[in-house]
Amino acid sequence: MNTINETIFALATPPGRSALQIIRISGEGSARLLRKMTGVLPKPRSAHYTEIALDYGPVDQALVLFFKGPASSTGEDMAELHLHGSPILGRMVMEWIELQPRCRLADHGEFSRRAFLNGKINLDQAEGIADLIDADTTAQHQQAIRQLDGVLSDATENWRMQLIALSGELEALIDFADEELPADVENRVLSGIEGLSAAMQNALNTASSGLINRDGFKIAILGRPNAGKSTFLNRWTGDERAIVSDEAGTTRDLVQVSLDLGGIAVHLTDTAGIRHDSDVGQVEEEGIRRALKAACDAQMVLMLIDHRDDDVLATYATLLQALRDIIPDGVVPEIIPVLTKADILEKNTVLPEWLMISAETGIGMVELDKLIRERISALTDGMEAPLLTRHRHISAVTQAADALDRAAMLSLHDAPELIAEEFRLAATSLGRISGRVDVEDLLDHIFTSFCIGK
Amino acid sequence: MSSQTYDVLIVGGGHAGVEAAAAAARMGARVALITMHKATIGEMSCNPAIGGLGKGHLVREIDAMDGLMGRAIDRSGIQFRMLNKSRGPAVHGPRAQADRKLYREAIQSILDEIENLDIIEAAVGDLIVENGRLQGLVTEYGVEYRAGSAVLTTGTFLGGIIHLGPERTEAGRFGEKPSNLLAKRLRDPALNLPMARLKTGTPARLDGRTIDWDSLEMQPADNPPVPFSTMTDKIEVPQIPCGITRTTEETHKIIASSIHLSAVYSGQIEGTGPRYCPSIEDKVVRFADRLSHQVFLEPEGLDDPTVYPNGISTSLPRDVQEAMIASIPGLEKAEIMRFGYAIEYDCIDPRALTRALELKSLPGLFLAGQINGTTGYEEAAAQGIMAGTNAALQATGSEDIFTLDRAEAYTGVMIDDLITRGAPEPYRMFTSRAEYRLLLRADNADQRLTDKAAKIGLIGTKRQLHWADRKAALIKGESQLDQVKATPTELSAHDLPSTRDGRKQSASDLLTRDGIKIAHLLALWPELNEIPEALHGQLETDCRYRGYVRRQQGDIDALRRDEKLLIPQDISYGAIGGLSAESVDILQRHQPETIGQASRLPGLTPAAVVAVIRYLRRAA
Repeated sequence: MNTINETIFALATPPGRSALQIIRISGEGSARLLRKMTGVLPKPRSAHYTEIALDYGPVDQALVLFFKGPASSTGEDMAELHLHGSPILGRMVMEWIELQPRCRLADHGEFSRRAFLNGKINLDQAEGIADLIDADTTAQHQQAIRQLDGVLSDATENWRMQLIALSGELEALIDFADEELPADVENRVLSGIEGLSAAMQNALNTASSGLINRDGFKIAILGRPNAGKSTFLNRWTGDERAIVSDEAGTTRDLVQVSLDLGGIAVHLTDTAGIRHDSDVGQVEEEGIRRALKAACDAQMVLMLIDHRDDDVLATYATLLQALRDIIPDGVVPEIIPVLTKADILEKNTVLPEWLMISAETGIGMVELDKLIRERISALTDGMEAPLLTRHRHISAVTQAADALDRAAMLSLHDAPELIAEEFRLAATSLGRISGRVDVEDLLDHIFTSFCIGK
Repeated sequence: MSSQTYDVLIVGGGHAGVEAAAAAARMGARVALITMHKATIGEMSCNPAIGGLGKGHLVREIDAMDGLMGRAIDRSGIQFRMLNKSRGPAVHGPRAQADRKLYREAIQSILDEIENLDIIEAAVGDLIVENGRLQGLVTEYGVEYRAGSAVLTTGTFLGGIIHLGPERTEAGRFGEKPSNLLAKRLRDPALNLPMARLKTGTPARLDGRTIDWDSLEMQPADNPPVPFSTMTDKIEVPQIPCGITRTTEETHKIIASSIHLSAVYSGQIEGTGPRYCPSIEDKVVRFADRLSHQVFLEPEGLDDPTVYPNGISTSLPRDVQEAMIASIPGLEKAEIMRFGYAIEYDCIDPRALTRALELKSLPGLFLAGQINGTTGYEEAAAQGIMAGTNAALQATGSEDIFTLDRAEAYTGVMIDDLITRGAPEPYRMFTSRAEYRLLLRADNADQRLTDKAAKIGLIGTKRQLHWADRKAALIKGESQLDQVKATPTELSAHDLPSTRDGRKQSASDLLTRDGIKIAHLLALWPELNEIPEALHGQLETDCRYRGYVRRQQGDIDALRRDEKLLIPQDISYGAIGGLSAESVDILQRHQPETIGQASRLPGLTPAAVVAVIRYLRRAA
């Protein structure tokens, strides 16, 4: 269970671009957070206009409020930040808060739950809280998580089992000090910590690449050499940043352009053309490697294919495969295939029903722009809530991995009890996603693995 | 028919019974301890040892509440050893082998000094239940004893059956008759008690004069021995080593070929045995790849030839036991003084109990020890002290109950586990059962418990005075360690570690580091010489864990908050909206007394717990 003295926060206004957005914070850390961000603690219950600065500098001028518990809506110390309405700004601030000690994103209905437990709201107001908590803990929720986040949740169950085995071995070392345990138990514990921590780190790395973080929404443009990628980029963004030439393979490095697309920062990356011919130079090979890397870091890939290509579908399949080959866990970004050079339509071949554009003349550009906006909005709006859930999972796994890292620095011989304490923390964090690690589980592991008892 | 009146009756003179009797007496109640044999009060029925991991912690807690066990083992221990000595202090496990006779005598002599305690030699056969409450007990000969409350500590005597190969004997212990009338009475459908059956086993006893000690590896005692009780200055009993030998492939062959004759494997026993205390036949079957198992040869006394071969408890027939023992190096010629056996006995599902260890369905009747599904002297004794105290509180008209929570004591962890999860197998204490292990240490039991126990009157005058001195010295030492500070330069001059940030460090800061002891700081801060050496360990350990304990404080606060939310016993779960039928069923079966307990019930969702809280708030 989450403990009550953690400080929780959440966006109180709907996500997306607006004039203002409000972040609510509740818990004993509220005052500390406000002071850290604004340098002062405003008088309770009065609005205060101030600069908001994070570790890396000021990010906004905003109205902040402080409420001293119990005179607040949750009954605890609370803070409100009335930021300007940029979604990226909101995320930056929330991500910063999450990194502060004992702070985490609120669970569904958690503000109401705290308000209720502190006697701040009555029953009618509290109706529905149980359902929310139910949804957060029961099979229904588990299933929802699995759908949203298959990779992460399969992994956490696996980690839970590993942690049970690992804790079991460690507890056997502690509780059965006067028994004959196999000589390799200590080594198993040590290598187990390392393995589990590495597995978590790995998954965190891949999991977070899918997140739309404060770097904004990333789009990569991918295609064969001379497919018209740079021309498209220049046309769409309206400047001449990408070098355009007819010689295949001109764009050997990545070219990045940032746009504001309906309130969301979009970073567009033009990449080197992908080809596997024998005359690929070293520089170009590196360019291709980076192109694919950029594509798999992105949330969306525009796959540009010259409609005059010998076999459009085969080229599409090849590019897709090149992308899949370097993405380890199979999470491929959203792909929009686009046929280019519509202005020089010369062949009457049968083409797939993809959007067809000409960056030269502007044919199809309005439609493509609309399609991209729709897809981005579908991805971000649709994923806002799940993303938060997912974010919470990532932070739970991060906490578990951190605990294991601390455990790895302790001596198994002198301080097994402190290692066990870190395991307990890891199990509690992991338990927020994949269910409790119960002491009975550990004992089961001990008694089935070792011949214990005199 | 005669009738006598007491405040509290205790049934049974084992480890639970004596602690219950003494605790109730310390609380000022007039107490009668009813036992079948005065002479076996304080008997160690099985292994002649006290303590170990988790168990040693319980003994220190019993001692901190002025119980008998710590003092008794200090007067009778013949081999003291601190388990896990090289590891962190939170997992040090004090253990001692006892001279059984000295232990029994120590217990009996402490009981003799208690004025308001009568010892009655009789077997209890009936309960007096009037108006839904226990009003007294009746012996098998029909003598009535009336009392405000009673504690049953029946051990293995309740419906006890001993199995030795195909032999099946009704007995409570070897050569002692069981308590069958009382067992029958408790099974009376009118009482509606959830009865269950458990089993345990014991190895053969050997004649030490026929063991070839010279051929064996010997394990020495710690020097100096560390006492269990804070009231003991020094262990005066001579310390002796014990022998170590191993089973052989031949032993395993003998066992395997006769396994069908073992009472456990022939299907003769229905009770569930503990996985952590397996019989030798269990070990051979379940861990067939192990070619050998350790056997500790523990002398049962300084002037007693009996040796307890720890590790080979069995219910195989006599001739198989003889062959098996002769196949073990050093025991080739060993004579068996008494054969090993398995014993089955009745217990009551402890989920029928309140936090005070009182039967929910029969107020006035408290239970402690093996009857609650536990195993082990220490587990029994710790329950005894709690049950005895609560029985006394109730009998003397107090509205209070005395409980310990999971962050206060192993005793609290155990009782909470028992009443929320039951005992599907005999329950034994392990340190891994405690969430707050760094806080619940063997070295700070008095800091955790003595004041709390004193508040309700459980601590005798002598210990109160002793604790007052000790506590004052601890507080003074702690503040001294916090107050003395030195700059990095001063620290380096004394070869002590410093930080690079130039900040001053206190003695407490330094003690959080591995390997630094108060003794290392005396040159730099001579004033620390005022701290009595006996307290060094405890103060050092407090510093070592301070950061971790602080980190746990949030969890502990949450736990305590939930424990304070009481659920009235007349609550109607069916009337609570939003509870699933399954949740209602779990809650009705367990009848949790607090929201904290409810939240730990297996199968109950957090949503159900919130629904109960909501209902309680509405009712309030």
